[in-house]
Amino acid sequence: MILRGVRSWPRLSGLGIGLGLWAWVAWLWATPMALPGPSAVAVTLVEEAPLLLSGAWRSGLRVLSGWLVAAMIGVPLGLGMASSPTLDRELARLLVLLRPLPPFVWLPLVLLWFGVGEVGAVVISALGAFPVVLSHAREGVSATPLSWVQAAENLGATRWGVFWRVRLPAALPLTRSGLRRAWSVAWMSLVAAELVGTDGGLGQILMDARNLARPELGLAAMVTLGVVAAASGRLLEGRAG
Amino acid sequence: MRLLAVLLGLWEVLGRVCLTGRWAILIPLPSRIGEELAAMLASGEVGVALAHSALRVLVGGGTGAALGLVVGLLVGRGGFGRVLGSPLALVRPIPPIAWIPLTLLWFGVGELQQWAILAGATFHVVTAGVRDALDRVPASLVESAKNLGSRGFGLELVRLRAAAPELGFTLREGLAMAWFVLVAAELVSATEGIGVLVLQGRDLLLPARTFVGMLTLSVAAGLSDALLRRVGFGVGVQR
Repeated sequence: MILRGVRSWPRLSGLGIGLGLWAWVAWLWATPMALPGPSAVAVTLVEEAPLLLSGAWRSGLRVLSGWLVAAMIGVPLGLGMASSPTLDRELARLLVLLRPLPPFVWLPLVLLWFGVGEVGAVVISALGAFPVVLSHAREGVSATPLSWVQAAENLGATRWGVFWRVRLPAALPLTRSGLRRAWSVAWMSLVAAELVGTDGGLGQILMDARNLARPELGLAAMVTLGVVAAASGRLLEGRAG
Repeated sequence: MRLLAVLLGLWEVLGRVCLTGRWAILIPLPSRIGEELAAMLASGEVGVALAHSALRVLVGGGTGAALGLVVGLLVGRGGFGRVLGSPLALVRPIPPIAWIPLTLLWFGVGELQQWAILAGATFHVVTAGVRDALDRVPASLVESAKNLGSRGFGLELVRLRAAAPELGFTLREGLAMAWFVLVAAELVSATEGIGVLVLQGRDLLLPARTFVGMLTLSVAAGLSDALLRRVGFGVGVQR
């Protein structure tokens, strides 16, 4: 994000303006409970690097696990749903009910059932990622151009052949983009879980910053979160897209 | 619907048979949830919680959307607007949830903090969406308008009208985001609202309440989106 800005003048000046504005507001609003300036946050980033990095690592692992679980269940299910009209019809109605629900609504129940450890965290991030992965995989198959399917059938392909050779590859782009989106949703869900009750990770550092009245730590944690989430998202894009 | 009925039936039956001791309390049966729903509706708890949450979404989300629209339009015009957009790009990767602890520190527990979170989340969704909507306006359309003599404000109007369905869709996305973030914000600061109902499932060891909260949220978010769609927001946009 910042590296790309170097290549374009408006971007760079925009970033500069952003930082400058931040520093100015921080200087104006100079009370202990106020906005720490960029320099204070930078110092905290360095001082608390071990804490922030270990938190980022812990959170990241949880997100990865949850996302993988969601992918392993969601992709086959989505692909299967789109290939079987009966399954699709029944499950789709169920999903319509569940779709507007943010993963956070499951938090109290998950905490109640699984406690405040890793399992709960992974479950929440999986719950967040799952609907996204599922709907994208399903759409991916539905979006296969009819002409491709017909061409394959004309050339003598069986149903299974059509699925494996035509629909599946056609579904890949949407499935990939679904997986990417699911990654950021999984991050959001996990951070929320760590804010509300799960132990450890960046979310807990954020809450601690509030409880200890250390806004500069909070901002440093947020910066870390932003960077890690964005960087990991980019990595995912690079690998899968 | 058949599948849903079957699943609920299975849940009820298996639950009665298999759940004992601790787990009988921790996992509520559909019948129990139904009872709780009826009781809470009758006592008005659901209505109050819904009112509080809806008001928050309206004020916080509405502010964020309005600001987002303005800024998005400014940024979308290109040129100097892009410079304005860059500091926003700095902040955007940070999930809105992450702002909750800091806003609690600055604003304390209260409506202002909730509105701030909702406004921030909606703002980012709407600015990005508006920018995309404006980008999607076909250049040929703008060119033809110029050829026919449009300048300045008139030209902007052409772009706006072309982008209008997408803009409407973006506002609906903003609303969805507001509902999405609302629960997280309410879970953390525990004032009145749907999030509190959800939280009570754990705090009061009445998991049925969590499900009632989930149902309320589902209905509220679904209805508000349907309402916007009815009024014409985002009609004709294929996604």
